[in-house]
Amino acid sequence: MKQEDITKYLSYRLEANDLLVTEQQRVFPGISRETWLVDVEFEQDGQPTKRGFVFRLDTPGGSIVPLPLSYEYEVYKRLRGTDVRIADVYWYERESQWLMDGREFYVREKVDGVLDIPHLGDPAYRDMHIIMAKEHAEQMAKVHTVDWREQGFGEMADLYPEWLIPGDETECARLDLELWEQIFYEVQPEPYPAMTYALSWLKEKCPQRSPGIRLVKGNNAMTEEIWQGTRIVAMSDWELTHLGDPAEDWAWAAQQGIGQLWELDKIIDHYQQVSGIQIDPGNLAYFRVFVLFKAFTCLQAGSRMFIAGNDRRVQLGALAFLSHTFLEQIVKLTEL
Amino acid sequence: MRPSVKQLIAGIRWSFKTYAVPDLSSRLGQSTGRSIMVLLDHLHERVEVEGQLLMDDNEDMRSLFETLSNFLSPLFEQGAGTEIQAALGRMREKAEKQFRAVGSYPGVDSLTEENEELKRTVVDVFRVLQQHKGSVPEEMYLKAERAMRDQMRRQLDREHQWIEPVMGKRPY
Repeated sequence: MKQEDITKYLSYRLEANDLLVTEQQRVFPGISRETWLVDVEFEQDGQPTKRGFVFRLDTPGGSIVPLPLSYEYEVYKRLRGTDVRIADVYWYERESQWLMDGREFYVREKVDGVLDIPHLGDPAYRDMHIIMAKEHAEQMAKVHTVDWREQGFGEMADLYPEWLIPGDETECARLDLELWEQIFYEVQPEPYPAMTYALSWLKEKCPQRSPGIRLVKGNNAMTEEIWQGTRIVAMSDWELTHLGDPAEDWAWAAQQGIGQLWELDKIIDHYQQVSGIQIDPGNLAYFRVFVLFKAFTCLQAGSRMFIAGNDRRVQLGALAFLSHTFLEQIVKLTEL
Repeated sequence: MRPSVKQLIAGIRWSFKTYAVPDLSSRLGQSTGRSIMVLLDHLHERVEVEGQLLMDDNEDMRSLFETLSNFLSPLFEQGAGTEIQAALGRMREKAEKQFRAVGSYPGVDSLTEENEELKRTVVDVFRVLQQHKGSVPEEMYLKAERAMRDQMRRQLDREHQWIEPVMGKRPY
């Protein structure tokens, strides 16, 4: 993103004549989308003012997440006013005069903090890591107990065909599996017979009941949240949010290594106590496979973009082969 | 012609690691450097074995089709549902298809195209059998499914040979 374009845009939005971008930094690794941290100074009501913003946009070839950028923005909007800690979102930009290199984007509040967990693997910090694990569980409890109807999440179905509303608790897992099976066959750059087998396993083992129709964060991970010390100050990455079974979020968390903070069963125990939601171990076992399948599908979408020359980042080429290790985990869990 | 592809890759990798990587200062630059190194390692493993692996894989799938044809031929005779018959018909066509002129060199691109068409057929037959499981005698279905799963397992084992040495490393 060009600094002059950012300056012009924020000057327009903030109605500032003398806005100066003092810092502009792209967040690492930014595989699924580009995230830019921008600090500005300008005069407001005669007073010098400093503010921080986050710009979020697809990479030039599109995103490996097969859902639109605006989807995440709409989720953020609907979380306002809940007790889920998030950055505030300001603007989603579609006007052609403001697009960044021809790309739509949205802007949200910049929240100070870090994504990385300090001293992972160091037993000297075990007590701190347990506090952080509990914090994560407590924040996830807030996500799963959001009154999604009152917050307008039902309206997302009018905006996106991918936003499915289960009729009742028996439909949560099945609807999402059907959606992602369709996405998988659309994005795969080559056939995967072993994944077709795994899909048959998923259909056979699909949970018949979930503990309510819950807001599921999707791609939930301890390193997807902004931390200040042992406190989560903002939950990030809502690209894969949907309505479904909260066990899926614990499968994501496990896959992304939350067990390094504290034993998974203890984290879930704590979560169950604070949320009042019981996580069925059978459902969790199913979702341990399902999240690998979703991740594989997203990486295959990236591979497809790389093959077509739409996104030549070598990271996508490398991740295409990493996804084969996901496939191997899947076939092991499904006993091919 | 020398240096060979594998020798060139080894040289590119060494030069990149020795002279370029130490100067990469940004996180994104370092990440790109890591990905390039991982892919060079991958190509080094892949360049010599890919052609043979594809040939073996293609032969394995053709052999599977022959096996399935034998197991499932009663379904043709008994007039099983049209979707099953159609899928088995497509399978037989693919088993007999010539992907190259006789005597021509089986380049990797051609072998890959053949491989993908044959895999598509495996997926097609598997899905159709699954969908119409109730129309197929149980013993026949289980034999066919086992044969297909065994072939899928062998396919992954072949690929594992050049994925595993490389993908233990962080790819970005």
